Amino acid sequence: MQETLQNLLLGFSVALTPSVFIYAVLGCLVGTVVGVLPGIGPLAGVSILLPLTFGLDATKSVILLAGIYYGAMYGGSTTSILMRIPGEAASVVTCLDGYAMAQKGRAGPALAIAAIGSFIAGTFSVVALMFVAPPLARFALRFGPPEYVALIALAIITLSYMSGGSMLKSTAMALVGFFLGMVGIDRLTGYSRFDFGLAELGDGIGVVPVGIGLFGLAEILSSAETKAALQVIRPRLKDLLPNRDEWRASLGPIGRGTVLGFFIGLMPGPSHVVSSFVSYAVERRLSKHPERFGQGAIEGVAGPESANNSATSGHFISMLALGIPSGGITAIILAALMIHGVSPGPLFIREHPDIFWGFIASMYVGNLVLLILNLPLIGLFVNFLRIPYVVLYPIFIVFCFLGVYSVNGSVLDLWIMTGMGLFGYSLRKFDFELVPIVIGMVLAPILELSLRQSLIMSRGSYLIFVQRPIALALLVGSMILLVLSLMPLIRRGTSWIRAITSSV
Amino acid sequence: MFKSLKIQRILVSPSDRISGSVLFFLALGILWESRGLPMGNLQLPGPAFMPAVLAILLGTTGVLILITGANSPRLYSLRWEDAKHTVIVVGASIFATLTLEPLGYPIVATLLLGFLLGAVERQKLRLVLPLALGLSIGSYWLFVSIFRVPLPKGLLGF
Repeated sequence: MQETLQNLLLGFSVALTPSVFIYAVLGCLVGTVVGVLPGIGPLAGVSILLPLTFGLDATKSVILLAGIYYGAMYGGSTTSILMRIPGEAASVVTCLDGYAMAQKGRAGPALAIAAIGSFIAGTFSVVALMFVAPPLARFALRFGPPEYVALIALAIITLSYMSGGSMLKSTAMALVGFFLGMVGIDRLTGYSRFDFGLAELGDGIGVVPVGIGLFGLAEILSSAETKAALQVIRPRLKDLLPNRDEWRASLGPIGRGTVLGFFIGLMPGPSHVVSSFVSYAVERRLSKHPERFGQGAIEGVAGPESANNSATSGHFISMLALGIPSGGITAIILAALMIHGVSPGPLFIREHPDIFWGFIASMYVGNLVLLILNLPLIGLFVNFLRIPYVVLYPIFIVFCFLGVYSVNGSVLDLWIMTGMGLFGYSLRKFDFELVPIVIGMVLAPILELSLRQSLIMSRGSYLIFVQRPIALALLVGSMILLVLSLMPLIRRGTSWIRAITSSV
Repeated sequence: MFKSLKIQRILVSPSDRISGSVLFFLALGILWESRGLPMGNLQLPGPAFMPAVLAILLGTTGVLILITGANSPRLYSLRWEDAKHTVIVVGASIFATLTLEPLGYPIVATLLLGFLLGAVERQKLRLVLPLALGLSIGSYWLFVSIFRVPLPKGLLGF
């Protein structure tokens, strides 16, 4: 406990340095704008703005990007409440009661409760992150290659299971990602693989051009048809405060959303989206008047908004403690750290305490900054909604080019980004998830190295994965999820056979 | 005649059948490309081992998507209204990729913004010109002078 507090003091000494603090504030401001703008979610925002971190050190980079992430989570609620247009996926559920409240003239309290709930949830989840990540990292020091193989299998299966769409499609995308991560020189034997004679591919395909292509450019291609600037309700500052009944009704949902969001956030996948829906369902189930939900119940804003902000901190745990990103955003932030020569994993907290604890402290600071800035500046932020998307997207495209070229000064990376943009656009049409591609790509080198090392250790026996307790436990978890996800297919056995025969 | 019939057949195919087939052929492609690499054995897996395992899993997943996708939406029914716009934006991106180093970042960024804002989105010149020039020169200055990231100077040579 005392050691944690000492480390936190170290973190605050880093985060409150004016040159670092300014990036936490900047990240929160930019993130809020990203969250407010419909058509550009936190993932696309973090991807497109990644180049801003290239001239910074690792601490400032991660603080800036994380600020953009949770700033976007805050900002996403604004458009949901004022226009019934979710700024990002996790705010979809806020539209239901938030907009209904706005129509009844209670937009201010809805925005205030969303911001205060997000602040409480964000702060609580950072405390939990602070206490969970270091012991988890110490535990992960016991991991050898077989445990890493089992952990990655669990992460990918959970990600596919949690993603809203087809598990088969998500798994296929993770496999495509693994394949992309294997391009280049094999680390164990020095053979070049799938480089088609291009020397630049020797180091492999970069995560940045793939990430910016899939999440930045593909998002722009899919949203570029959005033409008009939007009409918004503009609340006045004096109307922001909730009344006594609204406060009372919100406290329980904020508390439950915070706890729920943090635990759901630990799981790989779009946990911040899932957490907001689960929280809404829980609040509706617990309510004495469930019929009020959808008609302007403040609990329907307080719970989901707290849950999705709490989930953002939970999301960081596996990336910081294990080096395993649990979602697209953490994969991009991991890539940003790797560009600066820092590899998150079990040794990260021990080797880079200034970055880890500076990051933790910056999250406290960021949550406070967001609370202070978001409510008074709400009028300013909604002004961004007046800029038509047709003016914004060309600027985003220039940023994509700037970002990708800045990493290695490579034109090949620009080709990869453009190709990935088109690939991502097509995959979205065919209802495929894009996040597993980047996660698979980031994890591919670890998976391959660990699998081959495990087989060398066991002289070719796969039993090594069931003889070690941690690996076995992780694999059992994977199997349970796999069976659960295959249940519908097994139940539909006969129609499945019919489908095969009709296709022949 | 045959060609248009073939296209029609593709358009009325369930989308998952098409994506499943593409994944299956991608898996075959990976196996084909791995053939020149040593496979090794289980005691000492070679560089082709993991790609081969992945290709088998990807091929299997592709086949499963194909056979379970009979009821997925038909290809023509997917929303393609934005396809023309996408082709223009991708075309502009390809132009920018090809010309970034010979022409330089400031010129290419100005042209890209000018084309997309002015020609594609038909915005007024009094918005397009200052925005395109200001953003390209401003971002060039920011990245080169502040972030110390080298960007191609190209024709301007400054």
